[in-house]
Amino acid sequence: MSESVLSLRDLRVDFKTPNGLVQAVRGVDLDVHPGEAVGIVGESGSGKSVTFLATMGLLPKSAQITGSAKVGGVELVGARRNVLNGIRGKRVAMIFQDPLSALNPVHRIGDQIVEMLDSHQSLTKRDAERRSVELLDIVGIPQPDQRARQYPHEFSGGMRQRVMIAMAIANDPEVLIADEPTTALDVTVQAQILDVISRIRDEMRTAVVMITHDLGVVARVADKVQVMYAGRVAERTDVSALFKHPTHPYTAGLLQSIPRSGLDRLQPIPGSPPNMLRPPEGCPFAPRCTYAEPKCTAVLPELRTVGTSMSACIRIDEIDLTPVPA
Amino acid sequence: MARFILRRLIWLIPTIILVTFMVYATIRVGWDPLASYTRANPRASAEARDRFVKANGLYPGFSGVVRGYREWLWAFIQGPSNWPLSLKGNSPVWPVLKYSIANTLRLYGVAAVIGISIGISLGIAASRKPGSWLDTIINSTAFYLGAIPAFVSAVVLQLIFAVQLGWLPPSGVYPPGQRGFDLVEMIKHLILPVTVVVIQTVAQYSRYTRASVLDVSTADFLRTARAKGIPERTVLFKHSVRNAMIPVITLIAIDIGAVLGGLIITENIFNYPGLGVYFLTAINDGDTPKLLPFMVLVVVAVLIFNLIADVLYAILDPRIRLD
Amino acid sequence: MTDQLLPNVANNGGLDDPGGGLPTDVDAQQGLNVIGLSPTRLAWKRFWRHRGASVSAVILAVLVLVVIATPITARYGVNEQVRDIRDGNNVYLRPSALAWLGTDELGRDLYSRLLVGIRTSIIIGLASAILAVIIGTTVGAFAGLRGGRFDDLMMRVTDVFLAFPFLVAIIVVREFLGGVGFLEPIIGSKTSIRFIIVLFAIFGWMVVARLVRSQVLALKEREFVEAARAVGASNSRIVLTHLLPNAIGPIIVALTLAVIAAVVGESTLSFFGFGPQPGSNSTSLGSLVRGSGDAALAGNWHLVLFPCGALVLLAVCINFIGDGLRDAFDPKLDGGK
Repeated sequence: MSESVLSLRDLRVDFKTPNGLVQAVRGVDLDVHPGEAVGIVGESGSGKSVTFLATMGLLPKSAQITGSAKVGGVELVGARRNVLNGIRGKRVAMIFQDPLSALNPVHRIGDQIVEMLDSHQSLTKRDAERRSVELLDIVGIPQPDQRARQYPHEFSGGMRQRVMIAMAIANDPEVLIADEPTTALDVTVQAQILDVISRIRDEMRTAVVMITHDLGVVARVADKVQVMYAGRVAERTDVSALFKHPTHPYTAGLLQSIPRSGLDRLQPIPGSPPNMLRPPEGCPFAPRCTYAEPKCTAVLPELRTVGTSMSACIRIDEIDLTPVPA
Repeated sequence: MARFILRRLIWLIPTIILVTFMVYATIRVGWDPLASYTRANPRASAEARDRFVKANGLYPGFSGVVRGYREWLWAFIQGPSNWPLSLKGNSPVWPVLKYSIANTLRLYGVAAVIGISIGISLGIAASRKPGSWLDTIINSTAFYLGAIPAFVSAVVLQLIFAVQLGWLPPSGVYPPGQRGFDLVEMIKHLILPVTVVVIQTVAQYSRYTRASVLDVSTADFLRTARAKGIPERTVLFKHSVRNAMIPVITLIAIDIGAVLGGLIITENIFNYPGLGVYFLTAINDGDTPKLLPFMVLVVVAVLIFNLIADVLYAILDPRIRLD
Repeated sequence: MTDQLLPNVANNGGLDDPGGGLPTDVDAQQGLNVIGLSPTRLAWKRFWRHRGASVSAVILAVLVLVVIATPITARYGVNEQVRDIRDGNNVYLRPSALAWLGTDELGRDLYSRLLVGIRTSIIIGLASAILAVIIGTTVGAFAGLRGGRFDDLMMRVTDVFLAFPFLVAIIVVREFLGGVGFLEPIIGSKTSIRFIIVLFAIFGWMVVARLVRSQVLALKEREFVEAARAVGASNSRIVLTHLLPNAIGPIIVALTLAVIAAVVGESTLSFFGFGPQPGSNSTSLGSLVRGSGDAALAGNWHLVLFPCGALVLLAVCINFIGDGLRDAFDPKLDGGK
């Protein structure tokens, strides 16, 4: 297999707060290979967004980041700002949940894309402008030359997210990190945006990291999935295996809480995620887990191989998580 | 945009007429010009008093006020030579008013350029690292200075630098008896009043700018800008400050409009012959012929600069639609 | 946030930022389990964490106690000389055991007069601020809820009024109100305390009204108001039971600002001879400050230092408290990298 374009090793993020240290991310590993699409799944508060904001150096100063996050072999944790700025926007780009507030309201759309181009390529003003119109066309914005002269408030939510994607792919990055890109959008628009992202990946061979709480989005876009819970990786697997053979009770719980036709009982996971000021010593999911035994709360489980998957459940060989067929 | 400005300009005229009428009526009720005239000219003949009543349109009753306003406004529009004479000394009003405007603009011009630029720079500097020692020093200094009433700082500065140390002249624009232009003396006389205004301006603008930049600092589009990999300086000026300056610039416009009302406190303490001194003299003399043109000036300046502030806001923030 | 003497003043007037207190992105991502405290209790806790505000609150509380207890705390009467002229000079005495803060041109004790003066100023400040808040809240809530033409008109009028040079406006309106004969039985003569309270309330209500209006506009769209409307609650009921309790933070901040504006305003007006004359058995901070210009020139520094110092102390304390309240009701996080 080829060299990974994005690789995280034992990434940890702590936030200093008046109440103490909040351990948001507690040792996450990840490898993303060229052209691959990885889904990062978890509830809000699972540390999935923080992991990648930390990678991009976009967290406030109260965040303490340790471990390693490399893009194409360049270490980003603790990197100087000019090293960081050479990578972000160029080799790894990111789009965000709320496209309304992610664009600066006082600058024209075209100018905001030109700024992205200018910061990593030396183009003439005219070339940069032409390229920004081209990019708007690529992401499917009609009349791109006119739209480029408009301001963000003149765009709908879906169109703004397309602009964000156009901006993100401006410098042909190796990785596109999409942080819940469809959460704030209407359902019909969601599908369109996911199509744009899939198309970009196919045509430009850009690796995609799709951060979401929605397993439907994962099924649509990703090949591989990493399920996160309480700042840890609970399970790492292929998308097909995820739905057929979940290897962590948390994943199984997530699958059961998706509304599906033909299945009349919807089972939410009981309880709520742990307080990350004082995370439990053992398996963080144990307090909510129907399969939990005393040994689960004793020691923090590590990921280990289970068939084609990796699981952080120590009882995975003893329990059957195969979903009830519809 | 052009249509908006045109519409607002057309609206400005009835607004000015309405507001100046209210001011006129207020002054007619609040002061008794004839009594003031008699006090100022105790030996005026009955004919002189009649002339004064006629010249100032002092008719009885509400309809009299309306008629008086109409006549006064007509004379006012025709130009300074037709304005009623100041009741004290029967002298034309315009030369004094013109002189006062020039003095106030000079004082405020210097103070505003210094104060606003220092204030905004300090505000931006402080907002870079909220809670740092630099922020704490700038912001708390601005806080304490801002809490000191202008007349207190004026009296204290005058006491220290003019009376005790004798470094600077305590009042006026020129030494007594001096005639003609003298840059050095002018600057020496400006330093203390300018300092008082600068203190207030710096305190106000540094805090306002800091708050405005901090308000923007949590915006998502800054995260987008940083994710682009552009230098932090560009993030700061092109995104953070550019957006944060919108309310600050409109505040500047409104402040300039208000300053034609005179820097009353500073000017009076330093006996600096600007509009503030003009105004208090007119008030204390009950000199309505002198007061009215001043009030019209203030009303017009406030309304026009309010309009300018609105237009600036719309230019700077594309989200605001004017039409 | 370490060592933060003056946390940010996000809502520095003019920047409309209603709401606040919503859980932020980072909070949600960190998975913080917020401990269940009511918003008021949280605000109370945050207020006392604000060092400047809590110190100021204590100073002001002590000051108010001393000032209320003037019969005990004052050493001389307002018009009483510290000693008979035949026992020795009593005018312009420097601070001493006889007169802690010295004496004025009539041999009266500055310390005792200062206490009475501060009392008068606090009464003027509080009364006019409360009046302004009552008027402003009513008008602002009405305008915000009803919208339409009344709202437009109110915004326009207050726009112009607030842009108007404050001292020019207040001095002219003062003469006007003083000149309207039939108002005198109601608001008193130009030099009475009652008159000055009304005068400051007339100018103070507009700031409050705009603030309450923007709060009401923001809250109007929130779910709980929609819900109340859906079950058929009347407008006035919605305002009283839903909108005002949620806008109480900014209203209290506006109140403190109105108090400070009135206290400083009274002194400034008095300095130029337009202030109240509180009668022969009383005095005000403004009356004490008034002579400071001349006193300074004559070298009687104590007549400048103490009244002006008291005024600045009051101004700083109330400003701090306002600042602390603003932070307490509208917390902000620090920015990104």
